Amino acid sequence: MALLDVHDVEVTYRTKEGPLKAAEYVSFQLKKGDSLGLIGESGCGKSTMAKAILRLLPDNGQISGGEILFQGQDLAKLSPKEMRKLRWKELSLVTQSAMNSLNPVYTVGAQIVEAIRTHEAISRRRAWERAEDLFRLVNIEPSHLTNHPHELSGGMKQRAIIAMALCLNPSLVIADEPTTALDVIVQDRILQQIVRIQKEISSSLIYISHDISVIAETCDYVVVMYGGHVMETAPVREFFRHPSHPYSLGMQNAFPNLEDVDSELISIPGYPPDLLNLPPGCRFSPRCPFADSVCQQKQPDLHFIGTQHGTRCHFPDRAEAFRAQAKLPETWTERPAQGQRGVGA
Amino acid sequence: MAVTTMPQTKSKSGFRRSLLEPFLDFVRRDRLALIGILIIVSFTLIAVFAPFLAPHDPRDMLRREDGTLARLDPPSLRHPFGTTNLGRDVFSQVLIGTRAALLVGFLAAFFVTLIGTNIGIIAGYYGGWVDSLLMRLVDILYAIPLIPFVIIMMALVEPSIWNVIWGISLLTWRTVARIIRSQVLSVSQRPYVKAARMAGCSDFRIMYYHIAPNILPLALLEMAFAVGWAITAEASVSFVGFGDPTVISWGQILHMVFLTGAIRTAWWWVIPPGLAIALLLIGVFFTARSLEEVVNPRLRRR
Amino acid sequence: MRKYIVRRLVQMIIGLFLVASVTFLMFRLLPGDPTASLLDPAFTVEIRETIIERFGLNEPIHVQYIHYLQSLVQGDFGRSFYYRRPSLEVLGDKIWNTLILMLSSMIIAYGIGVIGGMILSWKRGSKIEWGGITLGLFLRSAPMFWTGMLLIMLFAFNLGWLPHSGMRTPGYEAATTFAKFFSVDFLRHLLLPMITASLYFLGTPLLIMRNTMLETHGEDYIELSRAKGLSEWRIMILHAGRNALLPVITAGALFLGQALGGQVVVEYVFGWPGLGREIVLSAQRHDYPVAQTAFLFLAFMVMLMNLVADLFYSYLDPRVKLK
Repeated sequence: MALLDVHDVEVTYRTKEGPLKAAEYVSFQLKKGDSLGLIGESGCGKSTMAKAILRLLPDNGQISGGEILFQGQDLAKLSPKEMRKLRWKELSLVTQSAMNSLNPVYTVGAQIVEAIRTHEAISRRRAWERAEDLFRLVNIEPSHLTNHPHELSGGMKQRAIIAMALCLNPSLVIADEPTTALDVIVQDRILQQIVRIQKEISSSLIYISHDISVIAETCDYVVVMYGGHVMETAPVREFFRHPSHPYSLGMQNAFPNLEDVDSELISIPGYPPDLLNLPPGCRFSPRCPFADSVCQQKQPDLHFIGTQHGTRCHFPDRAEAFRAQAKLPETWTERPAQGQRGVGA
Repeated sequence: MAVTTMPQTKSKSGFRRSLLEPFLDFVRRDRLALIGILIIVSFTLIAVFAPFLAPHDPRDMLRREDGTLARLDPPSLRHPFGTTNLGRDVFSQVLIGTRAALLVGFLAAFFVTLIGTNIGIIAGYYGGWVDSLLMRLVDILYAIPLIPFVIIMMALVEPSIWNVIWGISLLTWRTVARIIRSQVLSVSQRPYVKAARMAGCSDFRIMYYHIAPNILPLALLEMAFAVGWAITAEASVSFVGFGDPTVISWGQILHMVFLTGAIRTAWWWVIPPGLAIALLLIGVFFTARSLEEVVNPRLRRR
Repeated sequence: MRKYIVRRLVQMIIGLFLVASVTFLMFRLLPGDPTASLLDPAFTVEIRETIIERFGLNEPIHVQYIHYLQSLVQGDFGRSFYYRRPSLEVLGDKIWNTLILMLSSMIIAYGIGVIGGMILSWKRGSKIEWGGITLGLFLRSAPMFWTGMLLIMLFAFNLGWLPHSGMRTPGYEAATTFAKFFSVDFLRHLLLPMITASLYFLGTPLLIMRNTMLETHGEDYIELSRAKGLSEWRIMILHAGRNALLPVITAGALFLGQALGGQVVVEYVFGWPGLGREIVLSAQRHDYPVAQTAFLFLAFMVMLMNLVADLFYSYLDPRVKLK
């Protein structure tokens, strides 16, 4: 049985301008010990999904549909008290900006110990010792436990957050763009640590990012989101060998290729969709170079084209052809047929 | 980038838009702000029309039907708020007292804001020794408690209403100066200010055409609070007997009650003037609080 | 840390010097008889002139200024016209009386205000929030002398439960210093003025704490605290509260000055023999040496309390390094 089974989840926010569906028909699964990369542009719904799983949506948001089955329980239906028991013990979070995720007035050690002792009845001393072990795991001198957050460097803070996320040996860790705020070298080091630690303690991992190269390094599976929908899902090797959704193709083009340094960077023209003003058909259709009239009118289902490889497109069998065409810059700069927001200010 | 900063350099229309719109928007939604404004408007109308609204001259010592002096009469149809120990109509006094309160409140607040904002802009913009000097001055002023200062000033000079206004203004600008200065410090760092400097604009122009409109909302907010302090200060100073004896103010009415020991029995003389002060200040604070939400977006309702 | 305190004390002395100068200017340069602040009006003309000669009151202002400063440094604060004793002696006890009243009211006001502010912020959008805000604003609007009078009317005259003025019942002799301040008699006298002052002071920390808590709500570490599964109480008090408290303390330090000034009227209404009341009385009596000295003392107290508030703040906020 899968550790986490997200099934048809829909998340709605109440806004001044009306209800906003930040995520719709989102489904994916995760087995114990596996890692899943959730990737997409800002506003595509990936952070919303993370918050939904942890039941940390803001006051105006709610899970309006679907189930989030974790170890058999539907997280969407749990009471706040039950959810609180699960939090951190089974499900933990590594946040994006460690800068602000640690309370500035307490020492880092105190905050980790607090997390431990909230869920386990052990002495402060024992909890502190565990915190020391965790710091060693992430390569920080245990003496830094007595420091306040502002006394640590960015990279150290991030690692401290990771240590804290692991303190109760959770079954699932959700990392929400944990390295975005760091410079590249530190980023690389931390990524390596994440991969190493995950193998050591066999927690499952959901890694959220907008950087596809990072996902390539760390994850077993990839889920691509756009405009609140899952566009493609596949095991990571399969995804990089045979990307099938036009959006995934565009994304791969936008990242520099070390092997082919001279290849041009091709970006996807247009802007992410306005979630209050959605097109009736496929959410990517306004920017898709292969879009047809059916794409603009009807939403595609998630079609499976291989083992565990799904793509939400009306033309899944044309993936091979798309792949070839996507490599050419002209495919993206020539505007597809009718009314969409394209290039230009 | 350039597109977004343009409206703010066109100061005249820019600040009107950045100030009035959110404010009106808030007033429409925030019930407390509406009540606040209604209160202030009502008091202003009362102040303007007081002589016509007051049934009697507040200084007249009135007599009852049987000819005796109407000392300490409890509320009746003739005297809705009763009479003082000298037969004066409390209701008329309270109505007339509105004028002193509003006069002191708004004038002092205006001067305080004028002085404080300018000093804040100068200190924040020039920095260096100008800033240090001015802020040292502000620090000293902070050590001086307001009401004792005004009391002593009134003891040394002629206790007129204008001196009360000056006394209050002379000290209270310290708060405004400090707050405006820190805002100016951050605004000075903005790109369009630096651009204006490089374009060779004079200091004066930068300070008053570029920076000032951006701190105007904050200055107005401080002015709203200053109205509150000024009214309280004037009432307190009058209460202890150092107000202008020729002007009827609420503090002064309460001074008379207290002095004559009438608080033992004359609740009608005690409650209305104090209630008037409290109501007016509530109106001011309700309005100021909503202004605060305009100026500091983090306080807004989601 | 020690260096910081020393430096602040030095700054305070400089500040006092400047305030003393301002006081000097106030009393000398304002219209009215410039010698009135030194000479007892009961003196005859000859004695006046002798004194004027002897103390150099007819000398140029800057010489007088030096004499003034010199006497201050020597602890000579002048002689009260009214009491015929050194001002320092007159005011000695009164300082403590003011401090007791002020500190007790502040502690209660801040205690209730901070907790109330926390609760109000957590109950966003509810009726409790509206009620709390309105109450806080009302408390700040009603002038202290008025609420004082109302309380006297109700509790002293109407119900007769509590005394209406003074610090102790006349004729009451305290056995020990402890008994002086902790006797039931004293506490009964303290109750009404303390409640009056607390009610007024309470509004500010209540509203500021609510504001700062609202700002803290959105912080990332609060979200992470929730993700850690901590109880709402713990988050509200230990995490949000502790951080939100910091600006309240800063604002409180600034507020101290206002509070002290406002206390003048409370002491006056309740006949509480403190510094504030003495300022009013001495100003009424034209007893300028006492008025001047009391004023200086008040300024000194404000500066001292600001220093204490700063030290307290740096203890609470580990990010602040005292320079």
